[in-house]
Amino acid sequence: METVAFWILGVAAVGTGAAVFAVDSMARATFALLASFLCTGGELLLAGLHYLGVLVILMMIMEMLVMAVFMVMYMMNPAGLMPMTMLHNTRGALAIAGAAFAAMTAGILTVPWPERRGRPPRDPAFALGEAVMGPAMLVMIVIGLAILVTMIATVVLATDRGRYDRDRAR
Amino acid sequence: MGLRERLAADRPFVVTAADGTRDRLAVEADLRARGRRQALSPVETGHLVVCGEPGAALGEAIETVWRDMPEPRVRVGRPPRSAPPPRDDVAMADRADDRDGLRLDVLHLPLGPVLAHWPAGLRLDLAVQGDVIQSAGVTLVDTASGSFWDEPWRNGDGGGAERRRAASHLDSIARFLHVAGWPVAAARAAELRDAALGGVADETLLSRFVPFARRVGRSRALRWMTRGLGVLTSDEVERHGAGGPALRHPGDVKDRLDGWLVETGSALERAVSGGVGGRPPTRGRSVSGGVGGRLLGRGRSGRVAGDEGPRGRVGAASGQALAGLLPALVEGTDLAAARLIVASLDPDLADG
Amino acid sequence: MVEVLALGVLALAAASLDAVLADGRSGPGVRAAAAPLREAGRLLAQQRRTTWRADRLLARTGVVSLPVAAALAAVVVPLGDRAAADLPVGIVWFNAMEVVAWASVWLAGWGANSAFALVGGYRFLAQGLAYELPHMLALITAALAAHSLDPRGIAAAQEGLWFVVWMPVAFAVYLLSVPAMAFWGPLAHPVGADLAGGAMAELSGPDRLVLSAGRYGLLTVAAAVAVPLFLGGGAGPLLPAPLWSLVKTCAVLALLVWVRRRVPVLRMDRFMEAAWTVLIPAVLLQMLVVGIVVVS
Repeated sequence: METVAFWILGVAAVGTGAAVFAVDSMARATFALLASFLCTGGELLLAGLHYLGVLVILMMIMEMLVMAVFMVMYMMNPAGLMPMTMLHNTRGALAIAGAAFAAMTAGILTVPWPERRGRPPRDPAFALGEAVMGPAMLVMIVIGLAILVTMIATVVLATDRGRYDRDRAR
Repeated sequence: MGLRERLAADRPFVVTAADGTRDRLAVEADLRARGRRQALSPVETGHLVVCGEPGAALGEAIETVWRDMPEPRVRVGRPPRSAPPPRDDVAMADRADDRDGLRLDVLHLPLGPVLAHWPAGLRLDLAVQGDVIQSAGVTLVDTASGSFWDEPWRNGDGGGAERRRAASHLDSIARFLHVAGWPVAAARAAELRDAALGGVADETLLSRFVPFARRVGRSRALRWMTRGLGVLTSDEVERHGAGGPALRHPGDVKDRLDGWLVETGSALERAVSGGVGGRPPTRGRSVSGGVGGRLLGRGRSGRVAGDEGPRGRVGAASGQALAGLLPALVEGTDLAAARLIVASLDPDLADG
Repeated sequence: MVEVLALGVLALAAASLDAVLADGRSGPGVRAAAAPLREAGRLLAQQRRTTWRADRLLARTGVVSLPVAAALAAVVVPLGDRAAADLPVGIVWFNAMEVVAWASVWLAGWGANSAFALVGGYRFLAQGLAYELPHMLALITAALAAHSLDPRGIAAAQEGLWFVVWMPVAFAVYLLSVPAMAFWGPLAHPVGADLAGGAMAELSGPDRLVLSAGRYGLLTVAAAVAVPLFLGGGAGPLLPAPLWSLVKTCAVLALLVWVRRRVPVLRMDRFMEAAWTVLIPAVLLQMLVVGIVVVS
């Protein structure tokens, strides 16, 4: 059952990923990419990484929608009135993509994968966090908060005038 | 009428011609009695109600809307004078620099004349980048001579003049509150309007109006959402040949809303005190004490003193003049603000 | 699955209550209670129209995904201490499903090929950017205090003292985000009357019904999540725990419907500033307080 789901999600992830370059509308490309990411999130869930899987789903939806804003907001062509190709610099892109794919496949096939020792932890996300951050956890949390505050402050300062000319309104 | 058609009639899309105010008020009262609401867009429903007698240009716009409405379709109102051939309306986009010098797509977008909670017969032709209006033009698609709201003054019938004045402002307030996204308060305003036009006693009417005016006038959220929008000075209003509340209550959208509330209150107070007609509202803030015109004296005769109707001097086409102010006011604002600005002026194109 | 069905019934009840209260004092109250069902019948009998050169695939995806997301979010909502799905990271799952609404509304607005619908879709993204960060911080605050991302665990951690008592700011922010994510009531600007219905302007018949149902579904699920997060879950005297969960959910919904009557629509061009300069710092401070209490 899980194997079937794994393969379905895997094929769907690759298929929708390929669709990004096959469709002729920016909106469709964005959402094909989102579908691909959602399938990847599903794969993580299947692997028992609940937190990471759900987080990928959550973050990718928000990210793609914010991308939709920036990609499409300058174009008032609802529903992709003007079709456009999603391919640029086809030859170069093909070469880079091919090389990257070959390198990653080679890595998967040649690297000797370690045997599992012990059992998976009860909460893999927690264990992963401990393993990656360890004693630096407090520092990371503080830095994370600092980054958030900086982002908010930057946005607030940068949009002093606002999109709608608030100065004039006041 | 089958069940499907009956259900379709639950939520009519109401289009009003410039001379259709009386019909519209009847339709709205009937809907309220049955606990039904109007549709916001034509595709929401298959039931079209046309109030008044639309001219050729508005008739054509109505035909376009009618063709797009989903089955089962029902149509109420006078048939159009001619049925023009169908034509494909394509929103055309081109490019222009925006405020920050970015080269962005521009979309040409008409607001009205067939739009919910929109002044009858008015069309604004907008060029928008995103939802920010870059330029605007105004077209009076449908006009009429002789507004429903001016009737007591035109007929020399002083008896219901102050109540008609109150009803006129309450109608504007109801429309404004719909646009501001406060349908419950809008429904209350419409209810008070119909009471003012109906047989409810003057004192009852005033006592119902006071808490409503207090709630709307003091709403912090409403103030937050409307302050600073569409600022107009009395000079600008006068220069365009417009009059009425917009002239007496210069300032932003909220000031004009408060102006309506104050003038409604004083009109109702004058009705209570028996001063039918009375003095017309005076310019400036002298009427803004409490609900309104405690300061105003009583009229002595049953005749309408003065020719200051609810929306400006009767016969002076103040509404049509107000429409001319709109393009300059909405340029640079977003669609939401533009709708509020238009609603805060509520030009009546039937006063030509 | 009983839990999901119960929330579905509650969504209908919320729509009914809204219809009754929307009528005001003079309206025929009892008949209004059945208005949502009547409206559903009307929409089912209506022809489905699509606009010229609409992107039907995207528009339909948007319409259908909203109720699906609401139902998927409902599986982690506990009634008492039982939820339909046993997911240890229920809060994150709820958050992820609720963000699907961003995609739903944008897709429905974009796909219709109509300027009003498109502007409505974008309005919802602006709204999302305004409410989502304070909302997430409010979720994290409750999770932090309970050391758990599981709504059942968070409810269990409130034995004796409900979180609403000592994290009122987080609760208030959460309550605000409930109508925001369902683009409903005072936060219904994306489907506002000033845009002829905004993102829903071009939806007819079954499409409109499905999206509306999804809206009320999401509203109800989000209101129901407030119960394990801040209101002690199923805790209460006499009644069994699942019933207490339902009673509290009804109370939250009734409060929202009541508030809706008293406030006009909040526009994001004005609200955004308050969301980022007041709400986010306020919740961050709340989180700091909770963090200090938890550590000490």
